Amino acid sequence: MLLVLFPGLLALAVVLEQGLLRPRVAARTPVEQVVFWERHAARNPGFAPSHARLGQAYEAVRDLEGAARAYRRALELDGDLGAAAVGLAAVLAQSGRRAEAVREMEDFLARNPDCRPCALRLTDDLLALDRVAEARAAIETVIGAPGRATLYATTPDFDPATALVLAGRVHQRLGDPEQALRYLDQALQRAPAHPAAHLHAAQLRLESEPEAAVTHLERYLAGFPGDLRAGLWLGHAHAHAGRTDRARAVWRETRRRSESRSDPNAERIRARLDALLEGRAAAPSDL
Amino acid sequence: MSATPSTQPGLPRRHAALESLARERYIVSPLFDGLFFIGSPLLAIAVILGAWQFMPALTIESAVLVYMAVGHHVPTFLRAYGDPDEFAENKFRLLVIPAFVVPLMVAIYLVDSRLIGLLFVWDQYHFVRQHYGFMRIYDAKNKSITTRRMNLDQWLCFSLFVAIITHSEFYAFVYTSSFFDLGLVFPEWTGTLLRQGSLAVAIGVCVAYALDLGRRLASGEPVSLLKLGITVTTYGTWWFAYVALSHPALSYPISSFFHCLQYDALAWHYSEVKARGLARRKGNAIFRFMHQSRRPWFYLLAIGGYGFLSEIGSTLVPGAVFIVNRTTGVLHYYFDSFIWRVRRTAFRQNL
Repeated sequence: MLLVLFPGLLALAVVLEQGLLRPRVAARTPVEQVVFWERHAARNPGFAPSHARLGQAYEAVRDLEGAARAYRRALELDGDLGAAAVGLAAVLAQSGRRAEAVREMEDFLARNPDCRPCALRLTDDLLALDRVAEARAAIETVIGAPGRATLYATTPDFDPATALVLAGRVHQRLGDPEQALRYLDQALQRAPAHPAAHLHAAQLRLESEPEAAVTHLERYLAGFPGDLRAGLWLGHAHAHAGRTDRARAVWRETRRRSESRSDPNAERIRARLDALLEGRAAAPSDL
Repeated sequence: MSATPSTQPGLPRRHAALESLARERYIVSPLFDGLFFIGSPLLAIAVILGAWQFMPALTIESAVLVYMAVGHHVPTFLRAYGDPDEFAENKFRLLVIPAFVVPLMVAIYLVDSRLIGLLFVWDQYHFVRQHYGFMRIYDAKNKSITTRRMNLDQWLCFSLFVAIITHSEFYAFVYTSSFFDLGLVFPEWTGTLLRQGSLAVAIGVCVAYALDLGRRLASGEPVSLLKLGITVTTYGTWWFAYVALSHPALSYPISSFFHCLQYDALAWHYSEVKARGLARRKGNAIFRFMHQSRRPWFYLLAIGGYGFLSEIGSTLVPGAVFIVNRTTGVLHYYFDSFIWRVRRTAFRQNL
């Protein structure tokens, strides 16, 4: 009886969770999350992760000052809380204070050298600041030097595939596309659908292996169909593969999608697409 | 029967208590019990906080989770499948239940069900049941078993533990975030009610327990001081870890450290005694090999090895290792519910 009852109850619980509870989680608004975690942090003022979780809720509503306050409070309570350190660096970067984010993270890593998510965050910020050599040093604390990769277990806060993608981006900026592609391909072995891995691998293979670039970009665009830059590149990949008509079709579709956007990036891409469709531009030179 | 003040007329109470302690039957020996059972909660505090002076908290947490929390599943399987008598008595459960659990864990992993996060509730129940088991063992050793006592002991164990976790900011966060991520939010008053209600119940049970203890001492009934001692150290340490310290990375490792140490030590002792008494047969060769007297290395290697393989494996095939670890965890909780029952005469014979 128990052999039927227990698995049956568990299966029922999973069905209820997937059918009833997951939609509730998805329907939760960011503001509801802020209210919930504010109340929780007020009831548990001395526990650092409560404040870190509140920081994440503030981030979701783009209250970067509130998020920074919550993360700093978490770090006051527990100076070794990696989630708070990563969160603080992220909101500082989003606030245009990336140099400060780097300083905070370097201080944290000096005390907690094993914080892998911290090293990834630092690498990303250093790349954005064009401090590529330092970014390389940071990512190699996680994955080791090229040819001697050391990777850690996947944990809720650390994805080895993302670390490999960052390593690929570092070597791309260092002007070593072969090593960059080695890292990106390793990332795709671990996570075949990793969007950033596909995007950067496509960028590197655009001219030398256009068919492979098409595959990468189609995989990427399946998850991010609104990415105009990827649409632009996809057209170029088809063009390099000798499929001019297909390239123009992709560009026309991308141009149509860009019309609903008015940000400077979209306008720049729209102008580029117009030039390509009118035959005023040739091979990509400024991707 | 332990000496009590009433059987030693004129003897000061302090000496009577020491006499009682000297006559108590330990599970193994005063040193072994003191180190691995009664004193291990305090040892856990010393080891974990001591290590914190030299290494980051997350490193300590990772080491304890991998090499102790995961590793201590091994003695369960050695006993369940290696002990021929245990296997013969529970063959159906030991063969059929895993066949259900494995696909369930795979399915839960594949649909990314957050229900898996609630396993920690069973983990907590399992912690308390283990402590209750030690109380039963010490009572059995000292021929002090009554149904009334067992019921009071259970009430003591669970009421104190619930009171501790409802006053713990650590567990407030764990429960809140687990249920929140699952999609369940409870009104604030439920938390307040649980905290206040559980404290009231725990105080009431402690008073009842103290009164019953006094009655037993006065009437000359045997009282196991070792049982009381392990209860004080265990619950004192849980209070320290989860309420006083309440550290996100160290509280659980303190609890897990002594829980696993107690378990591994008891399983070793029991299985070593059992193995010595077994006739040499092919069917029990592994069990005898792993529990050789004076050679605990293979036993320790097996525990550490499972943890090591899990750590390495999770870099290569994280999904598979996740499923395996959760499966052995669930089976460990389930098997422990019947392979260590103190009421079984066959079990008590090897203690």
